[in-house]
Amino acid sequence: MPAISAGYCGAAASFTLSGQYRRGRYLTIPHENVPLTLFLKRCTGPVRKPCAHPRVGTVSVGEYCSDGEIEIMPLTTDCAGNYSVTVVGSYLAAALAVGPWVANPAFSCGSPPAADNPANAAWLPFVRDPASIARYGCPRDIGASGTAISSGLGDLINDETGGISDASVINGLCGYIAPTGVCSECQNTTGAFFVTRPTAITVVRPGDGTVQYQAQSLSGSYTLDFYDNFTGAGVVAYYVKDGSFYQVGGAMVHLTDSCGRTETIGTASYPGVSQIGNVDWPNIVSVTVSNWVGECSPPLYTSFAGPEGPLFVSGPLTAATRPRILRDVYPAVPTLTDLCINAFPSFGIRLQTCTGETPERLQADTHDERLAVSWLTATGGTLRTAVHLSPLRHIGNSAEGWEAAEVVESAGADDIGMAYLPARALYLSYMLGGAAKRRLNPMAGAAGGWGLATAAVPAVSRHSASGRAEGQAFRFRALG
Amino acid sequence: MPGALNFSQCRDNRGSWTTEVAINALAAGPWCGGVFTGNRYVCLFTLAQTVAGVGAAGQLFCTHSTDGGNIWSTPVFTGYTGYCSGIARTAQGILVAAVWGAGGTTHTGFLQSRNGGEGWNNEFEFGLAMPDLPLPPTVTALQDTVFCVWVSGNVPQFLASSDGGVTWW
Repeated sequence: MPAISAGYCGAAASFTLSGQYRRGRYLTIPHENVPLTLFLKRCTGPVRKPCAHPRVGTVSVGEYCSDGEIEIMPLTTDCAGNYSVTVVGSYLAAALAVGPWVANPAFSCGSPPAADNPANAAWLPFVRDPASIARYGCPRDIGASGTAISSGLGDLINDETGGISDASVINGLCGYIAPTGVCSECQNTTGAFFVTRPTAITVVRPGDGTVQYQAQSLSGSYTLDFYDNFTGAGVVAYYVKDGSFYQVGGAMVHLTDSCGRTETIGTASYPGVSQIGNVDWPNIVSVTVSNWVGECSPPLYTSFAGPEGPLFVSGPLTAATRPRILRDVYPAVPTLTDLCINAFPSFGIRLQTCTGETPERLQADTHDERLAVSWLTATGGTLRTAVHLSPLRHIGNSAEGWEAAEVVESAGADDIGMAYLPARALYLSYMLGGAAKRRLNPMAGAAGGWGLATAAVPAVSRHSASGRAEGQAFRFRALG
Repeated sequence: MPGALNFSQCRDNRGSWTTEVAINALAAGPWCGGVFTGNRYVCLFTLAQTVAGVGAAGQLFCTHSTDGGNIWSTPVFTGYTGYCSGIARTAQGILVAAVWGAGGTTHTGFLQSRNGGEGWNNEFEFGLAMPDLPLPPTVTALQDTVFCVWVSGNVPQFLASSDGGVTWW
């Protein structure tokens, strides 16, 4: 990149300024379609002209060198983040800033009010589009080769104590928007204006950033968006519903930016941070969502029917810096999901479906490290039992590890009860054909261990709750 | 529909149950929760209809017996609504109750008692863990692990909690 060839009121010349705007944590990603502004100070009969403006910050009263013209020229990077501009003419200095800049309508070169704040915006000859500040932040990743834009007459970019090295600019040291230098015949006044902001690219931080995991049910259409996570190491997918922000996890998100680059990220990592490493995410033009890929369930909490299948959601983001403690048994959530997964972050847990028929009645009891279940189908009255022999040591999907379910009654059963009796036999009662029946399984519920059905004594069957005390089993029966 | 809430015991291994003791006549069925804490029986049940001076339909009440199930205390409102579908007791004596259907929903939540059923609360670090189910799951415990069990499509499944029903895996 050639240096600016314009010397002090030198003859007309030309120079080309070019570079690459990069973004990302390591400045590795070209940043396309970024608005830039080139400031050019034309050298037209410069004279020292006191301005009476003190400089911003700690610098004593100085002067704004108002000689000549300061032009601003809008530029835009291409899809590779590159920019290039050639200027022909006699210029004293040039500077490049990120974002669209405009002349400050409040700027005045007159004497400021005595009581005025030295940082008053009226002393700033140019101001930046506020939207671009939020969007593009600090131009520390401007990527320009700073040494190439030295005028040779002083530093192109000045701070309160003098020149900012180009490396400093690139590394994010912020300058300021202010008239620069003492205008002693303009020799040290390069007329450059530069601002940097030590922020990352786009910050959209939902709520006050706290996670409360809670199931959500969605219907209709929602916009999936991203915000940078608290460490800046990635982005978090979220959507907005009823004014609250909800993280989205467990989905695969396919992104396309305005330059056609594509990338697929998963949103399942706790607490939902995903890295975007290819697409220019402030310029994403297309987002589609698909199911989580793979056998492992994402480490999230619940799901909803997303646009291309179930999505898993955590949120909303409402409270302080840690998951808020819920005091209600039932947070105000609507219908939950038609899929169920294990609750706490547990990698390697397979999805447990709960889309099948829910039994009309269900009983469960434990004894000697085994878990017995009996259930009655909602249609047909089929009575089944099953035993899990090692629920304390199960790993993975809890739908596995069960002995084969045994059909105790194929049809017509109703109103079941089940409990382990004091000496380990499993007791099962139910109504069949209007009569209360009971069966005993002396093998602690093992398949094939059920004895013949006999009349229950007394002739009742329902257990609403049951358990064991010392030397006895007990049952509660709510007959309503 | 209001109905009787009864209690009985079986002291043999053949399934011979004692004559039932009536606990309450206005309980909603078919669900309730019951547990033995070492010195008392505790029962959580839902009031089937509003009773002036007592509580409203759908509210969850607790009663207990310290004489082996013969006499039951005056029910006390727990502060929660819904249907208790089971109570589990861990080896450390923590009671975990599954409560389903509050406010007409089909959600399952969990109440915890660390004082033998005298008081119930729920403090969830991460909110709801259970899937939405049209009928309630139930809970049981082995040692200090509580299992919340449900069946879907004739496949039994469970979540487990080793911290008294606060978090589930």
